[in-house]
Amino acid sequence: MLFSSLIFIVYFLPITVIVYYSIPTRRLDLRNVWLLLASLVFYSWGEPVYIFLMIYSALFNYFMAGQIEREKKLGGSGKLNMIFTLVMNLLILGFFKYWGFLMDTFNSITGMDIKYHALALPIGISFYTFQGLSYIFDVYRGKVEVQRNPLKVALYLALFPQLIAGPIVNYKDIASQLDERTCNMERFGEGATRFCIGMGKKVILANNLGALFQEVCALGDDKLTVVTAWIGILGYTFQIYFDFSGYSDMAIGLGRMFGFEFKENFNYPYISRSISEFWRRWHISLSSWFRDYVYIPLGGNRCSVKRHILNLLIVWSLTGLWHGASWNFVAWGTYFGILLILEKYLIGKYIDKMPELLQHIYVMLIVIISWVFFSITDTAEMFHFLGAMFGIGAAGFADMTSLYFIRTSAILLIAAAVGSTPKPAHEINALCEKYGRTGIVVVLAIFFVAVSYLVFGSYNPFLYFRF
Amino acid sequence: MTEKIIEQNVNETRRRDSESLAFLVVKIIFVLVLTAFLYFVYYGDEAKDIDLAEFETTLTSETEIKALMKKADDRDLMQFIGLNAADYDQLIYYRNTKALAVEELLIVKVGNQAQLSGVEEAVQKRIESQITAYSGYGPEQVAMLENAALKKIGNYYFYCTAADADKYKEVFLNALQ
Repeated sequence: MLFSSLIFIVYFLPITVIVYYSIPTRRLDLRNVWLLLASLVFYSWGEPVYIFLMIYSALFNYFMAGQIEREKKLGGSGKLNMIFTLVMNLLILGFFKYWGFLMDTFNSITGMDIKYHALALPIGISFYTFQGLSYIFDVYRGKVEVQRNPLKVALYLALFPQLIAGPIVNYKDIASQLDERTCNMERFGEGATRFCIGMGKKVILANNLGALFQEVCALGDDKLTVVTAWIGILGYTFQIYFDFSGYSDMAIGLGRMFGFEFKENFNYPYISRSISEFWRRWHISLSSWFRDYVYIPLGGNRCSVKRHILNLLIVWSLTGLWHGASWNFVAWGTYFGILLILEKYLIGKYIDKMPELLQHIYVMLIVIISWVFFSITDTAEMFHFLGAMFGIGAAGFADMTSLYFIRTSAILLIAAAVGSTPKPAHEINALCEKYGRTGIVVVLAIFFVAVSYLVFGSYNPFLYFRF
Repeated sequence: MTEKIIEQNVNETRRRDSESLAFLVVKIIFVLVLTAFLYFVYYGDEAKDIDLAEFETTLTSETEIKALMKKADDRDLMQFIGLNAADYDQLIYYRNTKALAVEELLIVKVGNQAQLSGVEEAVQKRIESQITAYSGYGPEQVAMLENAALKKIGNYYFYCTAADADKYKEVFLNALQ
C-alpha cells in the first residue's frame, strides 16, 4: 500500500487513527497491538506471502537477541550468536536482492549460461533487515536492554510509517517509545501537517519532475541535446529529493500522529557546500547506520591513512550496493567514496577557501552527475546521457525540443530549486506565527491539490520503494 | 558442605547444557523453516523467467495481434495506462489505434512485488475509465472490457481486452510453463 494512494488516505489511515485513539491512553499495550496489526495489514496489502518473512524476521531477531544476552551472562561475548544472526539476516536479504545480480555476474565472468530464476524483491526488505540488525548490534554492544516482549520487536520492525522506505530507525532511538510515548492533539496536528507537506512534495512536485525526466529519456539518443539532457537530469535531481524527502516527511508525520518521534532523514542537502556536508544532510538514517555499524567497527578514521581510505571505499561501495543489485549502484557509491577521500586528503582545504557560490556549484555538479549513474541502469545509455550533458555525442547544443522543455518546465524547475532550500519553510512558518490560521489554510490547500492529483493521476510509486 | 556445592554446580551445569541444547534445537528449527520458505518461494513460483522481447516473437506468430493492434510506445503507456515504462524490468504494450476500438494487450515484468499491485491498480483504473467512456453507446466495447483477461503470475502481470482475450492469455501462460 502506498501513502500516496487513495485507499491509504481514505480508508486505512482514518480507520487506524480512529481505533488507535479509541483505545484508552493507559492501555499502550493494546495500542501497540493495534498498530502492529494495522502494520501487518499495510505490509501484506497486495502481496500477502512475504508477511511470513516479516514475522519470521521479528521472531528470529527477538530470539537471537535473547541468546546474545544469555551468552554474555554466562561470561561469553555473544559474538558467535551475533555473527549467526548477521549471516541469517544477510542471507535473507541476499537471496531476494542479490541472487540475480550474483548469477548474472558469475555468468558474464565465466561465459557460462546457468539458468536461474530471479525473484521479485519483497518491499521494504532492505529497510527492515537493517533495522533488525540495528537491534542485534545494539544488544550485542550492550547499548540497549533485550526486549522481553516479542510483539514490541515485531512492532519496531513492522511499524507502517517507516516500514517500506525508512527512515531506518535504530532500536536504541525508539526502545523507550515502545513503552511510553506522548499522544496528544498538538502532536497529532504537527504530524498531520508534516504528512500533508510530504504528500505535496511527492504528488505535486516529484511526480511532475519525474514525468519531465521520463519525457527527456524517451526522446532517444539522436535527439538529446546538451540543454535537453541538463533539463532532464535537473528534473531527476529534484524528483529524487522531493520523492524521498516527501516520503520521509510523511513517515515522520505519521509516526508523530501515533506518538513516535523519528529522527530527521533530510536536512536540505542541496544547499551543501561540500560532499561530506551533502552526506550529512542526505538520507541521514542510512549514512548513520553505515557509520555506526560498519565504518566505526572497521576502525573509522582512527587508523592509518591507507586503512582509512580502504574503510571509506568499503563503506561507500556497500552503500551503493545497498541501493540496488547492479554495478551502476556500486559505481555510484564508489564515486562518492572517492570524492570524500579526495575532499579529506587533497582538495578539502581548497574547497573551504572557495567563494560560497562556487562551493554550491561544485557540490551540485558532482551530485547531478551522480544521479546519472543512479537513474540510468543501462551502462551504454548512461554514458551516452553523461556525454550528451557535456556535448559529447549530443544532437547539438539546443533545438526546438529544448526550447519546448524550457518553456514548459522552467517554472516547475525554479519552484523545485527554491523548494529545496529552507527559505519557503521559514516563510510559511513566519506567516503561520503571524496569522495563526494561515498555516491551516496552506496545509489544507496542499492536501486538496495533492488528493486531486491522486484522483485523476496514475500509479505513482516512490523511487526508494525498489530498495 | 563441599559435596553439596559440587552437586549444585553439577546440577547448574546440567541445566545450562540442557538449556543450550534446547536453544540449539530452536536455532536449527529457525534455519529449517527459513530454508523451507525460501525453497517454497523459489520453486513454488508458477512462472518461469522469460524474456519478453523473445516472447513477443512467439506472440506475433501464434496470434493475429499484428492485424488487430499496433505496438505502442512508452508515451502511450503513460498516456493510456498511466505507467512509466522505465520503472519496470520489461513490458509489451499493444493497442488498437482505430477510433472506438478498445482492444489492447499489456504484459509487464516487475522487479518487486509492490509494483505488481501498482500495475494491477493502474489496469483496473484503465478498464473502469474505458467502461465509463463507452457505456451508453458502445455495448460491444463495454462487454469486451468487462471480459478483459487479467492474470497476476510470478513477476508478471497480464492484461488483455479483445474478443479473443483468452487466446492471448493462453499463449502467454504456455510460455511461462
